[in-house]
Amino acid sequence: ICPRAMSLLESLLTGEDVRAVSVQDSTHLNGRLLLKCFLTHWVERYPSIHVFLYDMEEHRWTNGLAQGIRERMVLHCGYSQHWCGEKDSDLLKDFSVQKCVEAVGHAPLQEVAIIIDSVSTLLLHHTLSHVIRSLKLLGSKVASLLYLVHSDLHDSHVMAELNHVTFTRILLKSQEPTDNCTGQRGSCSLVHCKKSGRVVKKDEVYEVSEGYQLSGREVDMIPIVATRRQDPAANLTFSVSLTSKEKSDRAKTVLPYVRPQQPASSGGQIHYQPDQSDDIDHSDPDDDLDI
Amino acid sequence: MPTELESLLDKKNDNDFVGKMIVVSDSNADGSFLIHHFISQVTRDGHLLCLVSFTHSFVHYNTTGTKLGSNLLRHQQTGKVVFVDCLTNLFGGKEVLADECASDHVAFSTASNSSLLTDLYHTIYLCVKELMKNYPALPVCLVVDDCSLLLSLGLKVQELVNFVHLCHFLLCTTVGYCKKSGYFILTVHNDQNCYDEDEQLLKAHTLHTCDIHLHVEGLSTGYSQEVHGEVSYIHCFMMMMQLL
Repeated sequence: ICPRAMSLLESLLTGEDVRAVSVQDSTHLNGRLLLKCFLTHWVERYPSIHVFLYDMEEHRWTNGLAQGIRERMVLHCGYSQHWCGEKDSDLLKDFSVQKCVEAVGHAPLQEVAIIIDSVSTLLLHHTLSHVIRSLKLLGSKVASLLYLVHSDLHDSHVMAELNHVTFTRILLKSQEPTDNCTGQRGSCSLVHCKKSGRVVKKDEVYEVSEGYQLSGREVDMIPIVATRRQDPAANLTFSVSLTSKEKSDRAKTVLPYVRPQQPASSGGQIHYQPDQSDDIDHSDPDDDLDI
Repeated sequence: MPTELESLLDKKNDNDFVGKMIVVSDSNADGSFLIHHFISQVTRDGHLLCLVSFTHSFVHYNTTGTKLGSNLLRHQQTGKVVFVDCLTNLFGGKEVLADECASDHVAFSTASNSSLLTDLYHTIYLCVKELMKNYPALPVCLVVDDCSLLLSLGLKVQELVNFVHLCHFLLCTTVGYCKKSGYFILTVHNDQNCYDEDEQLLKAHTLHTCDIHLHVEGLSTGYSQEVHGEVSYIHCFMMMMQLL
C-alpha cells in the first residue's frame, strides 16, 4: 500500500522549500489558525522563532497555544507598545528591517523564522512601498518569513503588490467547525514558487485538530461518489407523463393553419391568392432596357 | 424580543461580555433596536455606561429605555451613566485637559491627525475615568452609536479605525486603562445595495477586531409587513477558542 503523498500545505509546514509565505484571510475566515499551525510545526525545525504582533495583545494571541510552544517562541507585541504610547520601543510605528533585526537579537538570521500578524495593520501606519521593501528584505535575510494579510481590507492593486514579494501564498476560501466542534476544517488555494522557479498551483482542503495539528489533501484526491439522479416525477399523486396512445394521438393531430404536405415537385413553388384590389401587371418591367 | 435576543447571544452571566468588543452592523434595515437592548441590559446588570451618540438625543434613549424597563435618567443622576451628545455638539461639551490625559500614558499623539477625533477620544477617556473613579468595582460599557456617520463629515477611514482601536484598547485589553474590565459596543452601517467603499472598509476593519458580530439585514425575499428582517450572530473569537 503506497503511503499518501504529502499535500503542499503539509510540506510547507515542515519548512521545506519555504521562503516568504503569506496567508490571506478575510472577516470570517480566520487566518490566525494557520499561523498557529505553522508556529506549532516550525518550533521543531527552527532554533529561533520570532512573532511580531500588531493586531492584538499578547495573551489574546497566545490563548490556546501549548505551554511548550509559548516557551520556544519569542513574541514582540507591537500592539501593546504602540497603544501604550511607548515612544522608545514602538515596533508598529517604527517598523523597519533594522528594528526587526535588532529585536531578534544575537540569533543568526539564517536560523530564524519570523511570523508577522498582520501586514494589514502595518499598512495603516506605513506606506505600501516601505512595507513591501521591508518584507522583501526581511524575507531574504531570515530562514523563513510568514505573514498574515486581511485581503478584504485592501484593494486589488495592494494585493497584487503584496503577492509580488511572496513566494508562497495561501488564500482561504472556506472554513467551518468540525462535526465534533473540537477543530476547524476548510479549503484554500495555494500558489507556491519553488526554488527551481517552477510555480505550483493547488486547491487543498485541510483540517486542524486539537493542538493546532494540521492535515491537508488536494481537492482532486477527494473521491467523487456517483449519485443517482432522482426522477422528480416519481412520487407525484398525478401523472405528468403520456401513455403510448396519447403520444400517437398527439403525433396525428393536425395543427390549424398548417397545409397538408404535398409531394415535392421540382423547384419551389409560391402560391399567392391575389385580393380584389391587387393590380397585377403581367408585362416584363425590363422590356425597355437596351443592354 | 429581549428574551429571544438573550438566548441568541447565549448570555449566562452578567459579566459575559466584559473584555469583549461587540459590533452591531446593519444593512437595508435598522439595527438600533439592538443598541437599545444592550443599553437596557447594561443598566439592568448594574454596569456603568458611557453612551456616545451621533444619531439620537438622550431623551430618545431614555424614552425607549423606559419601554424596555430601565430608567436612564435615574442612572445618569446617580452617576452610573454618562451621555456624550455628539448629535448637537461633537465635542460633547466637556472641558478637556490634554495634560491630564497624557499623564496616563495613553497614545493620544498616535491616534490620528484629526483633532476632532482626538478631542472626542479625550472626552470618552475622561468620562470612563470619572465613572470608574465613582464606582471602581463595576464594569464599564462604552456604546458608540453610529461611528460610520463620521465618514459623512469627511473623516478618513484610517482615522476612524485608529479611534476604534483606541477605544478597544482602553476598555478591552489588560494593558488599557480599564484593565479589561470594560466592554465596547459599536454600530456601523453599510447598505449592501449602495456600494460605499469607505463604509465597507470601516466595517471590515471593525470586524477584524471584534469578538462578537451582530448583523441586521432585511429579508432577501423583499419587504414584509410582519417580519422586518433577520439577525445573524457570529462569535469571532470562538473560531479560535474551539481548539482548546
